[in-house]
Amino acid sequence: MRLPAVFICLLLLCLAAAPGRAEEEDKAAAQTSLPLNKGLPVVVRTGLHILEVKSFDENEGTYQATTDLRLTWTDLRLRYTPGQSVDSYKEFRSSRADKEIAHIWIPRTRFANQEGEPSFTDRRLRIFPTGVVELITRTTAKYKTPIDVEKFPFDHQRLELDIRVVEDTTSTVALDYVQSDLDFTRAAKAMKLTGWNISMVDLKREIIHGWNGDRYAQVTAALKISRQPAGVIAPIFIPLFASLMIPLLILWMNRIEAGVFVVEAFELANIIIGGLFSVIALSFSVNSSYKSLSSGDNTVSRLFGLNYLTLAFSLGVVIVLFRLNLPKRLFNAYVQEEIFRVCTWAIPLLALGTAVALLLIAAV
Amino acid sequence: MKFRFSAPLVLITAMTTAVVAFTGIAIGLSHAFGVAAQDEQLGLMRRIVEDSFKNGEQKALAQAEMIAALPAIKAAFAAKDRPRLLAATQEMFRIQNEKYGVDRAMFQSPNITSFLRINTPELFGDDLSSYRSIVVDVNHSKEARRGVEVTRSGPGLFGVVPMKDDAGNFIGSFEIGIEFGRILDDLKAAYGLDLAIYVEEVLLKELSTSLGGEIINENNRIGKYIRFRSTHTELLGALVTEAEANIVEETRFIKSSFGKSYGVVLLPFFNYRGKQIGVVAVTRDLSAAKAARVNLIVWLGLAALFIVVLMAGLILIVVRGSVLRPLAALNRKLEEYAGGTPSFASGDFDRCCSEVRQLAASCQKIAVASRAPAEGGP
Repeated sequence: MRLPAVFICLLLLCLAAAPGRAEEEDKAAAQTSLPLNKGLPVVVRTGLHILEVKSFDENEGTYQATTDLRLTWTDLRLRYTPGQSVDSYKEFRSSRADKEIAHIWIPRTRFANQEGEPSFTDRRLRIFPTGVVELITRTTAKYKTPIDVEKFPFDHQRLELDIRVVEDTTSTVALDYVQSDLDFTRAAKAMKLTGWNISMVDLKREIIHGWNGDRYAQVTAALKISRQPAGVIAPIFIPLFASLMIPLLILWMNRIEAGVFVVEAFELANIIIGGLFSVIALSFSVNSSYKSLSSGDNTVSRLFGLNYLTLAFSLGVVIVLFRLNLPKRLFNAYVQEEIFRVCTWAIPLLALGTAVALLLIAAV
Repeated sequence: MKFRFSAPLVLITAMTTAVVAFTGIAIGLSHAFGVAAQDEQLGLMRRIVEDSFKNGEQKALAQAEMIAALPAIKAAFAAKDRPRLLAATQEMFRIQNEKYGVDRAMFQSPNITSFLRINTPELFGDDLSSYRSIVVDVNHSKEARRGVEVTRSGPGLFGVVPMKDDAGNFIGSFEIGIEFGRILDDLKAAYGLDLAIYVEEVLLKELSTSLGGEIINENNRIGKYIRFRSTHTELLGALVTEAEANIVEETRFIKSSFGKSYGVVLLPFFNYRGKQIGVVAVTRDLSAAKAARVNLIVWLGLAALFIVVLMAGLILIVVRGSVLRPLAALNRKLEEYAGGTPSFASGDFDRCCSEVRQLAASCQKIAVASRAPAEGGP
């Protein structure tokens, strides 16, 4: 008799508690839903402060950075009377911020070019009496960035961070920035990156196209850096210019006596072959150290092209002049001698002139 | 001077002069075109800013006209019912503020005092006649006006319209003010321009009393000006110095900063009365255009070098190889013959040009003829 009574009591209690739980759940769900009270789209202002950049790998196009991403929006459901907080805002840090964030709506953003999981994350949430919410997320992570080495070694790179809204299209959530966000967006003054000069941080709004014409908001923050060229002159450009001299040696080492070339053609051809191998070895060495230079058009690939062209031209001189004596056969010994003399200064002048021009083009 | 040296020298000098002159002209022309295009670009930047400010003023005026024409608002203002007027306009202002950058809206009484500031309702009744010329003019002339003015919250673009009650009696004026920040941000987003507005510090301190230390501070001070708004503080700070900001007319220049070349246009910033109250700086990265111009110069220079070297080589080969060196060889042979060498063979010149061959053959004939009398003489 007592057991059924207890069971009935428990059942009645459960039935009485169920509507309350449902109301709480509904309320919680309402708080975490999109804040519609200011109309759509919800404008989320974005600012990014870069604290540190390290291990920039231009071969892989990756870098590791510690950043403070500041997102600011208005959720009128979170308004409160100013007297409720000691400061002019309510502040939640780290685990308390995570706990609070679970109960409010926050924009679903991510770094679209992030590689792997972040090694460090911390959050700070501030809610102002007006309903303005400010969320700062400190993240240390690895990011992918496009590398453009066309102007190497005078190149500028943009270390990009793509802050993208996920799931919500631009009709519901838009990313924007205003003056105060631009002022917040900068690199830490003490920041240093070996081999590079730190410049400024730039913000750019972008639209990412999704399925069925969906559009997603993105703001790209880019830290501009410029290479310190002195560091690559010794390992790359001195060998490149030195190897450019090898094919010219065959012109400077030979001479004409009584209308006949003194040095045998095959000996000079050997120098060309040696030069070819040295350029191939240098190319292999440079491309393995600077993978980004191995593909695409850049100063180094152009100089390698010039090296190969000069080698080919010199080989042509060896065959046509030294081996076959073609000018002598077609014209006379005097013409051949003059052609040889002209080649001794014209080919080096043109090769060096072209090399300097290629460097000048990269430098501007 | 030997012909061997002078002939190629004359030819090469003439050819080099011609090539250098043509290259110089080509570089000069391309530079002139580049500078003209760059100037056009800077002019376009100026027009964009001027049009944008003008559009902002027109937008402010149009919004003021629309709001002032609403019967409920007219009735509340005519009745001098401040709470009712605020209730009728507050929500509308909030939306305008959030979406369109409208940050100031105010009703003014005919005696040039503020009746209601929708943005700061608690502040009213103050005299505007000393610093709000546009409000003074509208209340005197009863005609709509627009322009730039400096108010308590800084400079803005204003449209002010006179208001009349249903009976047509003048009851005061209404204004809408648009902040510069949003306009500058939009210009940056649309055209990639970076802009800054510098306003006289004295003026800001005197009139813009609601501005705090976040605007009027040492970091924003450039001579007599304060950087009031900027889309890129770091960049504009590097591009516009105190000396450069001191302008009274439009100034354009190119300046390198952060490894890039920027075109900068500085425009005097005038208020409604036409008095200069500051400077507007507009800048854009022109590195690509500059690089294209320099690339063209380098390629033209390289092409000129190739032409000069190849032509000089050709001149030397033709003049020396085909003419002068065979002549020198022929001369040597004649000297040897004159010195007692028994024979003179013209076969060495068989592969030379026909003129040299004929000359060698003639020399050989003379040699044979001169030898014959000696051998079988009388």
